[in-house]
Amino acid sequence: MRTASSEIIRWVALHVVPQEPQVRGALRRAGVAEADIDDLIQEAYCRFAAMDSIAHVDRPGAYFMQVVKNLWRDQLRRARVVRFEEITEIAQWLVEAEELGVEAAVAAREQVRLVERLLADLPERCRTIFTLKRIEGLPQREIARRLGVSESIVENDVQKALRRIQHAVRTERFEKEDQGVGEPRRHRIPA
Amino acid sequence: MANRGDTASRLEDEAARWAARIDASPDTAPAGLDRWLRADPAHAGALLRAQATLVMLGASVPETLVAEDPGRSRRFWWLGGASASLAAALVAAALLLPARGEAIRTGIGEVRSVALHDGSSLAVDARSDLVTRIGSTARTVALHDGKALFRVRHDAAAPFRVTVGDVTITDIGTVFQVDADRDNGTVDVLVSEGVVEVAAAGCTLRLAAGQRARFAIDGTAPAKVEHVDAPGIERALGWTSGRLDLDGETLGEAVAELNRHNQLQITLASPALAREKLYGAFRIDDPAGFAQSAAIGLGTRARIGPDAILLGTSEKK
Repeated sequence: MRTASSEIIRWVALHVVPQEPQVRGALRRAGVAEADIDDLIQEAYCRFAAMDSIAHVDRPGAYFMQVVKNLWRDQLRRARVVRFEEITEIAQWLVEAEELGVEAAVAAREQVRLVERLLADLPERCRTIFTLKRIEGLPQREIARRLGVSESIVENDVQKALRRIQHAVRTERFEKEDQGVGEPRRHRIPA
Repeated sequence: MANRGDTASRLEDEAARWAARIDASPDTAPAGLDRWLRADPAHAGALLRAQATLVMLGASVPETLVAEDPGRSRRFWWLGGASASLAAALVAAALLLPARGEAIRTGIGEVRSVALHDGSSLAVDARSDLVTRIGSTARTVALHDGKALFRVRHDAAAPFRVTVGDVTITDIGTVFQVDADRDNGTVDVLVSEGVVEVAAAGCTLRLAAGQRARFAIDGTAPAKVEHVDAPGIERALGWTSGRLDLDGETLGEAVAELNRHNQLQITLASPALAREKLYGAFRIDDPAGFAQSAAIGLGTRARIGPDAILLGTSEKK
């Protein structure tokens, strides 16, 4: 099997991962259960991984939210227990959230903010590794040489940092506080 | 306890490992990547997320890697080379029927039978933990712990795979049982009908009806294949009908099995007792009855309390 193309990875790094906390936040506010949010997000990434290019996407900045919204709507349709008016009501939140959708310039800024915030929590050596990567564009082997440690130590640090940061993106509430939404309502999507 | 959030974090951890490895040597696909990607449709998405997160943190953007474990993906290769549109159609079909993971987790004494929408079914033993993903091009079950009996409807277009750690069992139209023992780090595969293919430790082994093999969960140790006769299979699958059939299994094994099925837990007074061999059929939901019979058979005592059973007498007395 192939790994994703560099075009897709670059796009996901700029427009998808930094938005994940917001997309999750929008789903949470719409009352989607946490486990269902995990599934929806996972499924969206799988779709992106299967794409060759994003050239056909009109608004790459809003695409993630749009895909997740469609996936979720499909699931609600399949789960016939949800009343129709609930679907429209819930969809409304997502439409509003989508309009907040971030476009390129804003996205880059959000990305930098998110990265800085995430890196700040890492242990010293991990931070140095990522600084060398980011500022000087060094590969792992060169970083290992500079720091005078083995390559597997660097790889391990990269892996550990990546785990922590992915976990933070998934679980931490980075989204702006309360956007005038009342108590979230719970709608479990039956499997 | 654990829930689907754990599945998400396990997925993340595995993907982080691969992404870090690719970042370490960006020009070659690491060994085993292909197998991991194929083991679960969710893996490709998880890897993309991990690679993109790494790029977001400052890593340079990796090029596409074609991961191809030796001897595994010739068929897919041919698809890619010969007919791009067919491959595209397959991708589209996979998208139409997204494989959404369903987690199944059984508690003590809970044996569950599950019908999958592809027509296959499975019986899940007590205290088991697995995730099924049934899609139109791939059907996978990740068994994290416990035991399940699979009755698979064969579909050449969508192979049915069970993964346990680094061991992958691919069905070729069959009924088979997979028993993952996390504590001992072993996976026991028993085929009752048809044939399965087990990939572990870099090699592939075919198991036919009446064969049983035990693998290391981390795919390291080679497996030993043994032959099991019809009554033996019947005994091994006894749990699906509430029976515990013993034919020389040790008391330790039997107690572990009973404890999986009952709140009333049996403890052995001495480790030597655990090695005693037992014969006979017992009801799996009757630990007190079992303890009494075993005590008589082994010439020892069973103390049956309201919330625990102690079998044997303490050696230091």
